[in-house]
Amino acid sequence: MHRVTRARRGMTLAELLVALVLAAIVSAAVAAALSGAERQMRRAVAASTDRRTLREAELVLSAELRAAPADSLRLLGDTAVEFPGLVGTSVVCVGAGNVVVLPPAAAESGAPYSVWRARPEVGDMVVAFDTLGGGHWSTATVDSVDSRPDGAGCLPASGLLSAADSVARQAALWLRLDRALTGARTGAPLRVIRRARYVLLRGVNHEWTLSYRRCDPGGACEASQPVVGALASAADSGLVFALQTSPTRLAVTLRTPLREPGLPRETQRLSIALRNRATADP
Amino acid sequence: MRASELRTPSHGLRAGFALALALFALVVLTLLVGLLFDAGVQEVRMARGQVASARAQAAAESAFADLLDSRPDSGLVLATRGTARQSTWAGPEDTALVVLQALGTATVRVVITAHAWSGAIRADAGAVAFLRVLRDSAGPPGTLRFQRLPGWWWAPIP
Repeated sequence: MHRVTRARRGMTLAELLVALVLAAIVSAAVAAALSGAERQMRRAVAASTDRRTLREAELVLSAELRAAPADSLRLLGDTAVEFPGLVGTSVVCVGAGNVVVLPPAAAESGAPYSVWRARPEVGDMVVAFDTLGGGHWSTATVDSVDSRPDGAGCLPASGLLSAADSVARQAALWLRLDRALTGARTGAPLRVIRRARYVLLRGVNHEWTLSYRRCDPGGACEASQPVVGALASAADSGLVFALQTSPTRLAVTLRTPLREPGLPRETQRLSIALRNRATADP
Repeated sequence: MRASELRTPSHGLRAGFALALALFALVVLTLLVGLLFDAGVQEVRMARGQVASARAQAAAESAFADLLDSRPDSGLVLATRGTARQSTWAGPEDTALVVLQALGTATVRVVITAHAWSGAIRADAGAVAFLRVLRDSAGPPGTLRFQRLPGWWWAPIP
């Protein structure tokens, strides 16, 4: 009696084999599920990264292109686009010959007449609107720039500078140009622009990036600065610049890189099209 | 029991060690969960920021479009240079402040600053443009209209 009880406490070989097979099946199922989840996660992470890259590219390009004059866009092959990027806007406070003085970029009232994305420099183009002479823009190039705390003739009487700003000695911008601007009288709208080039470049890490190059009017460009990456190369149906049928339209098409060779290709596409950008107001 | 055994409570030290270890493990686990949660909501936060930014941009553009469609009064033309007027466009989740600054010669400078919310994320957008005030030949006599400067639309404020 005692021996029979002991035999029942153990497992037979058949029971052990069944248990092993069941454990193997469950393990295989769990491994397959985990592998699928991991693949799914990698794909989601890659897609998320690509979407973020495209968002960055969209933010950079759309903001820049929106501020560019429609008739100034120039494609250089299918890997570069060049246009005059906006440096800032202002209003002529004093216009005398080939010198213009612009009001300060800060005001006690909180509403200054000058807004700068970067400080104007020698070689930048100044475009002023002649409000009286038929309404057109005239252009000149900056020969020298100076910041004048004394106002350089821009006084509160101009209406563009308050007495408080004058007392606070907010610095006015003094620009000497290569020629006199037509219609650069007090109150004339003014823009400062600088040639910018967005280029697709392959970096030392073999990744393609959208890079910014600052160029002078002569066409000489400084070193490129990566702005957005990584992007697919043009040979891999990646980022390309393409001009649509109308000369006032620019479409920028982006596709994301093929990050994971074993995964189905996620096609993220961005198209920035500038439409209805007539060169003259109807 | 002997008297020497009663004077040495050896198990008391072990209990203090276990409590400290448990508290440390709790702190580490809390930090890990916090990090995981932060990483998990990062994408959502970025998306909300993106949505708020797009809304603010749209609010600024809508306010500008509304301004272009509106009819300026002659006071704006006659105002001395430097005179500023401001108005507010308020929506359920976005607000735009429009400032008009007279430049003389029937020209105005427009500065629009807008902000919008998406969840608890706020985004700001701004735009600057110049407009001319002209007679509206299509409207009743004496009415005026805004006109963009040719060849240039508007610029975002950095």
